[in-house]
Amino acid sequence: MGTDGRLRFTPGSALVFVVLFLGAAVCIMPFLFMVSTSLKTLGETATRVSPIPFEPAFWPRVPQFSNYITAWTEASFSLYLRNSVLTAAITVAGVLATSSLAAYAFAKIRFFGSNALFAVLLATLIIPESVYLVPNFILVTRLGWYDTLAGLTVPFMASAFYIFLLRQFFAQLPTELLESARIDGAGHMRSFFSIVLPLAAAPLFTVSFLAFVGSWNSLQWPLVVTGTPRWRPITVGLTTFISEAGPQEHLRMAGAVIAVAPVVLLYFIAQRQFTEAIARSGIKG
Amino acid sequence: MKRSLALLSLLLVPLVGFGQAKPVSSVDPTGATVTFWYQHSGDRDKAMQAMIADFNANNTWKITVKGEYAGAYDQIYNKMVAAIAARTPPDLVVAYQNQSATYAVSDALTDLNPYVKDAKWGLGKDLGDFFEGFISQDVNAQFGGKRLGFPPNRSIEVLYYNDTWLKALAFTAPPKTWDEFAAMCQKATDAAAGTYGYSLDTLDASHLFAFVISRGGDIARADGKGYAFNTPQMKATMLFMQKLYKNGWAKKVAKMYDYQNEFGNQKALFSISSTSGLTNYASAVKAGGKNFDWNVAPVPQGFSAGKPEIDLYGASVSVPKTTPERQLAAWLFIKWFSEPAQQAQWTKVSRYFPVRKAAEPLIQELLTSDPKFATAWGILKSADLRAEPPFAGYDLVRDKMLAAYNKILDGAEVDATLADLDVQANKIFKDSAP
Repeated sequence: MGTDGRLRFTPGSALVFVVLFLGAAVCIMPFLFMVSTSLKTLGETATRVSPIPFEPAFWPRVPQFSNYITAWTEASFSLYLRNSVLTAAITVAGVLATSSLAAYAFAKIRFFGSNALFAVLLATLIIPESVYLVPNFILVTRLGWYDTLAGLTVPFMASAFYIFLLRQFFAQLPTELLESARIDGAGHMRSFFSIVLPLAAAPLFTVSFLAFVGSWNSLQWPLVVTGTPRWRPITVGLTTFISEAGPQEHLRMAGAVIAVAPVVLLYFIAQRQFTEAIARSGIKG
Repeated sequence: MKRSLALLSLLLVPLVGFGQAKPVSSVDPTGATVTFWYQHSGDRDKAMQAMIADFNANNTWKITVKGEYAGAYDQIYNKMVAAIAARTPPDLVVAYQNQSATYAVSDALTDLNPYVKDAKWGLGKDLGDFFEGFISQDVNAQFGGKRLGFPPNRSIEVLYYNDTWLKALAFTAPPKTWDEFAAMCQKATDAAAGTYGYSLDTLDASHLFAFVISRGGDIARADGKGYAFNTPQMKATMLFMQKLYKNGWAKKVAKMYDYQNEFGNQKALFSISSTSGLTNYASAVKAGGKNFDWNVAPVPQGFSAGKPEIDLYGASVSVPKTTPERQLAAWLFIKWFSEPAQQAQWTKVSRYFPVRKAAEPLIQELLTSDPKFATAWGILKSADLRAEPPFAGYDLVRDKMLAAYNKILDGAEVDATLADLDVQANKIFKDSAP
């Protein structure tokens, strides 16, 4: 980029663009494959198969948009979609409430053992999620939450990772800001709501996005903690297109497109905040 | 969830207090409500729900069965592990014999022998009407002969072959032996046309068992006290498959069920799989649009004489320990489901084999209208049926089997890999034993 803001091609920047283009192509390939397969007939999923989008066999002869209607109706997607939206929204709200408060406490309040407690919290990140399954299930059933919205959401309303992510951001906020507020008579809660949260829109958006995606994509827990379609999410709907003896690939992919559409939409809306927050929190991939 | 973690979780949870001992005859199941976790989705789910509704409307004890789709086998297994730990198991659950054995390690399952034999609620003389290989499959020696499940249906491993292509290659019949199979695979392979002999499924360990028994071997020790992978039959199987793969006569599929598409698309001459996929193969062939004749045959054998040794498939239904009333209600649903009329009805929908001989006259129409199913039914009745080891922890061993299989196909030394597999499997056997 030149000083006048115009893009100038040099051999170095061209190479960077080539690498970025290849990376983008690799990332978008599975998505394109999903979309193209969702528009094929069942027969074409077997006969017109190619891994290269430039080849005709990658795409359907005649796009079968009716696959989306079939997938929607056969797997009760309207119910599952509603459930997924509700589950994700409630989970995100819970995550934001618990994570932001805890992160603020770890970042800005000095109390006995805070560092040790934070270290313990971070240590829980290395425990595989599957280990939580049985104790979480026992807790949920004892509380009478089997096959309820509470059972699907409450266990995921607190997360060490999101606390860590927000804490990193909050720690960077100038302490003088909060001290000035304190001199003016503001307590922690007032400072938290009036100063910290408004400055933390980007990381809060990121946490919301990640929590949303995590909730949206979950399959094992909803299957374990529900017994009926009443609160089951869209991921469970997708599994019905795979019988024990074979899949209906075209409908499964149509269902997958329906399932990922809200997440993609959300990402495009939140893209700027998402990258900004990652950059500010100091987390590197 | 990783099955190893699930198993570990289950073994770590002490379980007591399920179901009280009470003579079965003295139990009154009237008004009981039972939950049934199964794996059927789509049309099979609808058919199962219809049959459950029929039972609920017409049983004399006013028992209510609530059928719930609980995911695929692995997902049901994970769900059961959690439910056993939380002491909230269902009343009926679909489980393979090794899975029920794992649940039984925690003493979480009802022994169905007292129910089967009970003078009031049992099967009586109908017991003799069940296919012997089916009914004995759930009696587990590792647990002192307890009956840990009951078969609702069964299927077998068969060879799917493209008859039109075979004839074009100048073969008059499907292969009876592995040597014939290899010769046909070689002749079908054409790199330019992208065709080959056998679409290799390295994602399901059951095939390995089928191959080994077809050579007169087994993967369980004769005394039932462990696994035996370092055997001549297993070695012959691995060397054979390694040769097929190395020469390009067989190709791995990237994901589950792709072998159906490879077969339907006339890329692969053969596929080896369960008869429960008959309708899916029919769909794949139709979808491929190549309009060829195909059929099923016994899996090739390591010998040319005698009955073929065939892998018997099919999960059973187990009854977790709950209350005497619910356990009996669960059994009465199983018993009802095993009656010839229900068996015939289920067979027509699912293409699973019925477990009762008396169901055969009721499926005559199906046997006439679906010649491939009739062929498979004929194979079932003429073969020696063998089931995979019903050992607790076999799920974990299956993962090791697949890892070894893939390593060998990719060129690993057979003897060393099998010796290592043998050690790993027997360690799991010891760790998982009751």
